[in-house]
Amino acid sequence: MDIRESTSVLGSSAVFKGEFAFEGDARIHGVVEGTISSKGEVRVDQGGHVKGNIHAAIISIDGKVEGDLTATDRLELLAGADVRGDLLTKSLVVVQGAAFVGHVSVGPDVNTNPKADRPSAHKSTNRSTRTKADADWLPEAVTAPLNNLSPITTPLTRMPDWAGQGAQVARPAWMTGGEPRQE
Amino acid sequence: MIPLTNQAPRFVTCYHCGEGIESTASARSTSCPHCHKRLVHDDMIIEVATMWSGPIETCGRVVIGPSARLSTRHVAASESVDVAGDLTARVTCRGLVCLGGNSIFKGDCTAASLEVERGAIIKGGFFQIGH
Repeated sequence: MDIRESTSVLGSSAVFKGEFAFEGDARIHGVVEGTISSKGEVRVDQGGHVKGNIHAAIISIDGKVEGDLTATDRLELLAGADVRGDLLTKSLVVVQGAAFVGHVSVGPDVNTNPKADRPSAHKSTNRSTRTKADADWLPEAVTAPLNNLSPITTPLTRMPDWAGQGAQVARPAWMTGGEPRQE
Repeated sequence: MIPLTNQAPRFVTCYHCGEGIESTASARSTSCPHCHKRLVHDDMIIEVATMWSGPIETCGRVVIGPSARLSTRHVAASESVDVAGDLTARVTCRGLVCLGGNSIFKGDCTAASLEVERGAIIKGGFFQIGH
């Protein structure tokens, strides 16, 4: 495989820590601890070890990865691949001999946006932590009326219409500070 | 009639315990001498849309045809699982699981190796491949 001029190479004798963003392609031969993102192809070669998430157009793994992989175009797991993490891609190629453990979502409808929620298995089902994005799958016709609801401004002391105008609640005298209740 | 002694033995793997078993080529089922559970030797080929409540288990292959839609609890195969249609199940295979280009798979998968052709759709299951 020829290495183009725009390809960044992280050598095998080094350990990199941090967040890496590549404009072009990247080849990982060493150890990387952190997040990797690229607009091109990220390739983890044999001997390479990434501890972190990778987001790129094309991801090709022939080494070891401990993290989630999100490929907007294609994800390739070659024979030497050893991946522990979730896979999210539009197209997946797995070569015989590759090993991986994790949740997999593959298809043209898969949302590979890095800011998108992870696969449903990791999504919290706690109501208190749900956000509006959780309801994005609902059709607009359903969500629009809910979003247009006005807040409750009617004072709670007002009587309902069915009770008639000026209706008053008949309260016992002991509730209004009158004579004490005779037991 | 061909004597049974002339038939080449067939080596199969128990899909319950993983032990290898030697059996006759004509045998369609047997019991595992290690775990004593019943084993089916026949290949299973599904070509229709169906819902199957029980597990689909075989020492051979499971083939989901291109026009098939199978929804079941568990698919276990010792040799391979070839999916060309729709499959919703938990798959356990001691060999190769192949997802064809037009296949749609939903469920968990545990297999020795996985082959995914371009165009296959996987809907968010837990995969354990090669471990």
